[in-house]
Amino acid sequence: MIKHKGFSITTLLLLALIVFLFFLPQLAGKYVMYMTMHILILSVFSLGFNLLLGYTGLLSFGQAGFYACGAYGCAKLLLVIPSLLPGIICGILFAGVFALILGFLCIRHTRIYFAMLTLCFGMMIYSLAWKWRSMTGGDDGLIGIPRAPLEIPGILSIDMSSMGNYYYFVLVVCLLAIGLLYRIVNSPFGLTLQGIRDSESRIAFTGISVKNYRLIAFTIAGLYAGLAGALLPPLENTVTPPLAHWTHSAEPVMATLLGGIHTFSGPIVGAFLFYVIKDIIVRFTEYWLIWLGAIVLALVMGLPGGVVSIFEKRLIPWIRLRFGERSPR
Amino acid sequence: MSKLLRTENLSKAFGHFTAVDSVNIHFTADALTSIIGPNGAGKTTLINLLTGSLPMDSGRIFFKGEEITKIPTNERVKRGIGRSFQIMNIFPMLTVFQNIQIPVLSFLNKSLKFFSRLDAHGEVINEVERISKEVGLWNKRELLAGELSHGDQRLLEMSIAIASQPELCFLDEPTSGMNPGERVKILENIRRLSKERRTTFIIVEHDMDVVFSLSDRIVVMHRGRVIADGRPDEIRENQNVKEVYLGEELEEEII
Amino acid sequence: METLAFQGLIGLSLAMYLWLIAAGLTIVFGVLGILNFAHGSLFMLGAYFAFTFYGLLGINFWLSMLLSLLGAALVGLIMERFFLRYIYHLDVAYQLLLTFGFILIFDDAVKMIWGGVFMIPPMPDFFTGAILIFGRPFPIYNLFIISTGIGVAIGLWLILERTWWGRIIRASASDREMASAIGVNIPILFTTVFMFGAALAALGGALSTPVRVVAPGIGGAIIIQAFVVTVIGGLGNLKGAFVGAVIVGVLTAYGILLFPIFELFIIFVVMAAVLLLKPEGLFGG
Repeated sequence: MIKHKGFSITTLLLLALIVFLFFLPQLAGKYVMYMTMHILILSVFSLGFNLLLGYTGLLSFGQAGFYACGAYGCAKLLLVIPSLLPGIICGILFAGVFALILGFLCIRHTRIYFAMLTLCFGMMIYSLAWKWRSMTGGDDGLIGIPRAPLEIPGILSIDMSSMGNYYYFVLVVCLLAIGLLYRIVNSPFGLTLQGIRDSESRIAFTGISVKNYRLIAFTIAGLYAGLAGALLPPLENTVTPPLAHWTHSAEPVMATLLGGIHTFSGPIVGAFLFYVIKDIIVRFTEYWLIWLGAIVLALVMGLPGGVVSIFEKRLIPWIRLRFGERSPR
Repeated sequence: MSKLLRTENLSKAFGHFTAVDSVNIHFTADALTSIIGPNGAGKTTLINLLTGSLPMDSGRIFFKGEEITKIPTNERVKRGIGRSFQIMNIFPMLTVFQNIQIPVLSFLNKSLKFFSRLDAHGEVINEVERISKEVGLWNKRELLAGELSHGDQRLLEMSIAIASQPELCFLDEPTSGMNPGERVKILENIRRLSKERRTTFIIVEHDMDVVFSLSDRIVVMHRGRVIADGRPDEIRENQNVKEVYLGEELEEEII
Repeated sequence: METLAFQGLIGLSLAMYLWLIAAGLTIVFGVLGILNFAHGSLFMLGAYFAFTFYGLLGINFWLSMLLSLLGAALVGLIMERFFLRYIYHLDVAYQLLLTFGFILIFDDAVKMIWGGVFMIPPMPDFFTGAILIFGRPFPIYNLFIISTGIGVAIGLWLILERTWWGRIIRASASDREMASAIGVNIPILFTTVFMFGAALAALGGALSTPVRVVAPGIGGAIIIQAFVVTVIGGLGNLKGAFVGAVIVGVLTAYGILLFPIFELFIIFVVMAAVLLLKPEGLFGG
């Protein structure tokens, strides 16, 4: 059901979008760049989350824990070594290690236990971030994190202090990450994950060790959450404990629900919609969580396939009919 | 003929109910065996124990001479045991092609490849094509498994099982819920695969016509024990078997 | 030594409202098969209701407790009847997502209605004061909490084992189809059980008001602890919920005493240990 065959209109739109994103700094001001970076970061965060939900059938409420690991890991290193790449890599690896260890404890269970455990472990990381003042700065967090230059010794050194430069860095990194994940879900590994999602008992009878594959998927999701988190400190210059709180774990959940669980691009569309909706709601009321919750209820009860399902079920057939396109086979 | 699968005092109880009672049984290659018996005799439980879907209370299992008692299901599959399910167990949200692709990838040890494209593996595609043409599902390969007819789903069920090229394959009520036309198709496939491949089928069935026409050997279970074991003609004449089935009929009449 | 014993008693009173919320969670899971993420929010609502009736409106303490339970049961009714009922047939992920959506709604609703600041409810007169246990003043109210918790435990056991309703609940928990076949009205049963579970959580919340702050976010905090209790004790097992609650409550109290700041972390470590050694929980499986 997860579509992976290219459809010419979709591919064209995609290319147009990427070109547009590259010209964005010329076309729009700082606020739009800032928002776009956040959307890209949430996209990466949510794609990792959906690797678990849409592709493997596991619902994790603790991804924010790994996001925070990425953020704090990057921040701590940047405060000591002001160089962008090592910071980002440190954040990713830190999150990955946590995901591997906690994943080992979580994936052996039923999906309900798994959801509970991820929530608990995510909050465990939150409690660590909040209480361990000496390491994490406690509830004040870490401040004064530099937007360090992108340096590869001997080859290049690009100053990142302008938002435009950092925007391009984030854009390139996110596009690469998205591209890599696209490859992963359309590989034998990705198909096997979907088999695990569809029937755990059946796939054991094809020789697959369900636990191992789930652990790998969980770790990849953790790495992606870590990447998303690591991109944050140079942008905001601070990291605080709420990054690990379950209410932050709700964001990729929301974005994926909004955009659609069953497609690759769902989480990306959803990330965009999430920020648009949040932006609108916040202008009218400070109680935006209620609206978020109400939207979750509406989506679960009424539109489990998300926005992309409308796109696929209605819009694309209409376009095909209208323009006489035939899908490639 | 060497014993492909052998058990020693296999037992399983659910609370006070003994489902499988100290069963010693063996299966040899190239003898299509049916396991029959009244409802609750323990047939499916036995299959679950042999394939590793259920943990046993006591006993040992040997496959091709090696003990597999503690080995998990997916490891047993890698050694050559396969199974289809009584209750439909396919991958409903994937296409027929993908359903067969998954076990083929696993068999060729390619499941872990996360960086290569699916359609880059030519030998996998060829093998999936071969299997789906064998069972007659090739022209339905792009359909979602969940949307197939019951009979086609059963065929798919079996294809997934044989795609791993097992030496010993358990089929749990392969014809249940099928109309006569579909039943013929499945039986043809079982007969053909039994002859052409090196797969030994062990079938759990209720339909006596199927059992007596297909089997080289019949095992009869009752209340968790094996009460008869032999060629179809021997079983037909067996007093114990008659009593057990007749007894069942009598009970049904009284109720 | 006396300090330890005393702290253990403090832990026991904390355990009691963990037990109340875990009991509700487990019963709902056992019968409906739903893990209600928003159960902590029901605890929180119980606390807010109790605070409103008793603390703000000056209604009699016991009546306030009762009204809080009824209020929460009403909320539970709405949740089950108009939302949860329609997704029983869907994948478990949707149930989890739906109840998660409810947490978001309740958290903000509470802020909207009562404001975002934390409030400290008054202690009812007849419970003020302390008695000396192990040489130190132990609040009488905590004794009340402990006895209520134990009372509920005994009461639940009696209901499930000795009454007709209890028998139906146990039958439905183990085999829903069979229960339906012998004439149990499953929809009504589900709604009443859910309301009962909600009332239990709210009782925990209402009881906790005089000794804890009432603030938005306590729902989220307590559900985490309830989950830890449930994982340790085994999901769907009432005995496990009780034992798990006692373990978590007492360990938290000791943690506050011996390793302040990291007391929450200790609970997670214990949970991880249980997961490694006995994944289904102490009484699960």
